Order: sequence, then C-alpha cells, then structure tokens
Amino acid sequence: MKDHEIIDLYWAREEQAIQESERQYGRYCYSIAYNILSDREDSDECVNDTWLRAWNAMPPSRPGRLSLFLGTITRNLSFDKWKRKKAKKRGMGEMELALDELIECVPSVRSTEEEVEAAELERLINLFLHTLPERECNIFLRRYWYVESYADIAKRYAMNMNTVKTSLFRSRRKLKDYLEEEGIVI
Amino acid sequence: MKREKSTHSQMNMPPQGENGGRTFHGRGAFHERRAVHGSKSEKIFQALAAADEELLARSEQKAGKRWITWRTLTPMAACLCMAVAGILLWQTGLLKDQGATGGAPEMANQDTGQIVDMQMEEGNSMEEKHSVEKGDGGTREAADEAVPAAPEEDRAGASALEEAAVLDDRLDDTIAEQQTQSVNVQDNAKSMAGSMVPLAELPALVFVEKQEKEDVKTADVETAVSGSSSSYALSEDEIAGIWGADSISEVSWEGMNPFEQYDITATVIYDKEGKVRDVEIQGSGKETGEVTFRIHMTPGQVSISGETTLSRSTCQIHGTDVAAVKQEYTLRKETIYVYEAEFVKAGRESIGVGIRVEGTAAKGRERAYDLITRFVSGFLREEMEAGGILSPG
Repeated sequence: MKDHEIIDLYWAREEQAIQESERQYGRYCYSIAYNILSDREDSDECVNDTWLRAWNAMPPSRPGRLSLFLGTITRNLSFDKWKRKKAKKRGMGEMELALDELIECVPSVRSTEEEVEAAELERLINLFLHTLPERECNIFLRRYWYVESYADIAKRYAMNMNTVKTSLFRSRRKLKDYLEEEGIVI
Repeated sequence: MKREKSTHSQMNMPPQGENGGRTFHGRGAFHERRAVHGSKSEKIFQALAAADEELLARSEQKAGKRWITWRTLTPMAACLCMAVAGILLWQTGLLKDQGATGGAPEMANQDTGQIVDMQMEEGNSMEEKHSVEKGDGGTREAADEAVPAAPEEDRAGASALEEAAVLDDRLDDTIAEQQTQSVNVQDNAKSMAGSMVPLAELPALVFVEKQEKEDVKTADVETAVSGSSSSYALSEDEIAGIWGADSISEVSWEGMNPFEQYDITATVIYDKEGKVRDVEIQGSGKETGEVTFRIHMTPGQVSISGETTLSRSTCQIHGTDVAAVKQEYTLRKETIYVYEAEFVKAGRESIGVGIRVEGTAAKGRERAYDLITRFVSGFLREEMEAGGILSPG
C-alpha cells in the first residue's frame, strides 16, 4: 500500500491504517527506537505509541513522506523515554515518577519566547545542514537523527569507519562555528 | 540568543503537518517539561528533529555497491607502495654494484673508443672543407678525420685505464698532427698542441658543419660517447686543478653509470666578428637525463645557464660570475641539487668551464655529475683566450 493510501485511511479513521503503518514501517520505526534506547521492550513501546500519535495527528496532518513523519514521532518518543531512563539511573527513581505524574496535571507552559527560540534553533540547524556537503550531511543525519552506529553508517555508504568519524568531527566543529557566528548560545 | 529552556518544539509531535503536532498534551507535555533541564547536546538533538524531509530522504539512500571498497583498496595501495619501494631499493643496489665493479671513477662522456667520425660541410654548397673560417679573417684548422677508434684487439684484455692511456696518446698525436699540418692554424694553437687535451674535449675541436647565416655562423659538433670505458683523460692533478684541490674529494662519480651511453651535441654561434658568442651543449644519458647548457660569452663575463632533467625534475642555473656560479634548488622537498660553474685554469693549460652538478637523491645517495665540462673546456679555451676573457695559460 502506498503512503497516500495509508494516510487516506488515517483520515478516514480506519483502524487498518495502523496495521498498514506497522506492516510498512514497523521495522523502520523500531530501528530508530532501538538505536536510541537499546532496549527491545522500550523500543516496542515507543513504536506502539507512534501509531497512537500518528492516529491523533492525522487528521489534520497530511505528511508528504509518511516514513519520515512516523520516524520523527518515534525518534521523539524514544528520546523522551531515554531521558527518563537516564534520570532514573541518576537516582531519581520514585521521586521522579511522582513528579512526572504531577506534571501531567500542569498545562503546557512553553512560553512564546521559548517557542520562538526553539523554532529559531531548528531553523538554523536546518540551514546548517544545507551548508554541508551531501555526504557529510548524510553522515551527520544518520548519526544524530537516526542515531546509527559508526559501523552502520560506514556500511551504508561503503566507507571506512575512520572516515565516518572524521566527517562527523568536522561537521560538529562546523556546527559549533556556525552557531557561534549566528550568535546562538545554548 | 541565550536559551535556558528546551528547544524541542516538536518533541512529541510530527515534524510536518498543519498543526505541527503542537497540540499534543498529556505525556507529551510532560516530556517537554522534562526537557527543560536537558543538556546542550540534547537541545541540539531535539532541534535536529526538524531537519528537512529532503535531507532525511537523501540520507536514506545507500551508496551504490562498489566493486572495490576502501577496506580492500587501502591494503592494496600499501602493498603496491611496498612493491615499488622494493624495486627502487633493488635498482639502487644494482647501480651501486655497477659503480663498485667499474673500478676507478667514471667519466662517461670521456669515452675513448667510439668517437664518431664527423664530416664537414659548408653552407648550402655541401662542399667539404677542412677549416672553419672565422670572422676576423683568420681560419682555424679543424680535424677532418674521425679520431680513430681503438681496435678491438687492442682493447681486449687491456684494462680500461690502460686503454685510455693508449688512446689518449693516439689522440694527442692526432691533434698534434692536425695542428702541424694546418696552414691557417691560430696563433694560440701552439699552446694547445703541447697540452694534454682530454679525450672528451677532442670532439669539440672537430667541426663538422658550418652554416652561413647573415650574421651568425653556426658550427655543430656532434659526438656519441659511450661510457663503457672506465678511463680518464684527465689525471687527478688536472681534475684537482679544475675543481680545486679542496674540492677534488667532492667530485664523485658514483652516480654515473659507467655503461651508460651519452650523446652530446654542441652548437657554436659566432658573432659578426667571428668570435664565439654562444655555445649550446646538449647531452643525454639514461642516468643523467637530458642536459642542456648555454654559455654566453662577452669579454670579461661569462653567463652560464642550463637545465637538466635529473630524476625527472627540471633544474635551471643562471649566473654571470666568472669565478663561480652556484645555485641550489630544492626539488620535491627531498632532493637538492647544487650547480657550480667555475671558470678555471688548470695546472698546466687545461683552461675551461667546469660545471658540476651534485644531487642528493631521495634515498640519500649522493650523485655527482660532471656533465660536459671537459667536453667544452678544450674548445672554449681557445676562444676565451682569443676573446680576451682569459689570458693564455
């Protein structure tokens, strides 16, 4: 089934949309989640949440590329889960969970300023990505968007692993210089 | 722009779409709040979520399958480099062996055996002559006979040095005979007749062609010199006289391949007055490469320029100092060649221009090339003295 057909299913509120999404992009989303979490159960959970988020997002959303749309949801969910796990490891355990539960009661408090700043940073990083050479940009995204390992990236692009590392090192330095030039202080 | 809070505007939302996913609440809102305390790297990671679809889609594409990958190419290149290095080392050792077996130091362009007979022609008439007319009215008798090559039976069994000595004597006799038989011999020929003339200089005295031009007379001198002999035409004392006693030890012939074949051509250009204005000498050898030197003479000053293709590099020297011209060039970072041109007067009457080229090759092997020094020295002596550049020795 093609992307637009699956999207139509979502818009038609057909539950088959989730089945088709899972069949078509289940492995893709799972790989993104697993790259971030390195845990099967957590990854499965994130992928399942992805279908739910997609169900809630469509309509009104009508993504151009369904794979990237779903992948982004998975990435964000996985990242959140990773941060929670990380916090637990730091010893916040039950306290953190309690606070988490309370935070659910608080309405979203992102101020306009925060939204603007976030959007600005995203815009600048996007522009930065366009300044990179194609291969360098690809490597950068595979590493920091898909969180792929050096070995996987090297295999994907038929490169030496050291070349991948070197490319990423250069890209990071470029990003730092770029953000400094733009006056961004994070 | 200073940011203390989360930047992840799309933390729990799709990157695209009409609502941008920003209406999600519940757990999503919770996670956003947690991100407030995220590190800098986390903020960038979150911001990356908004990367353009086209970039992400492009990164999805895998590289085409290569028939050879870097993983295999790298060791292959290393093996190739090692093989090349091995061949070079082997060749270097071979050359050293040849130099060692050659016995005495070599001067390949002073071969004694194969001086080619030259014919003399004048202008377009193709009429043979035995002399080249000079502009000042004087004529110079040049040898019209080929210097006889040593018979095979003479060479067989004789050492190279002995052979050289025999041929040297013969050539001395030949020159003396030519000079004594000459009707219009130059005044300074007497000093030449009594001198010890290096073998390699002799071809320069043989004028084989003269082309009349409007203002310039050109004489081409050709000879093919084989380096198969290990003889010297100059004694060590004479070499010391040319190079100076202190530098004799620096003149090394190790780099010369004694079996190398050298072809040398000299072109002499006269001015209106019949004096030598330019001498262009071109030589070539497998070891030495192409060599070209130009000697421009004016009273009191000599300009020497030259270039050679040693080790496939091009070098140039330019100088006007009569006493010495020295230039150093660094080629390809590891190779240094030193050119020295000296206007010297040897112990007795060997006066000439000495050009020495020394090179330090990449492997640290020193090479010394005496290119065409002796070839021109005997010939130029006459002209230099006539032009007042040097006083007769």
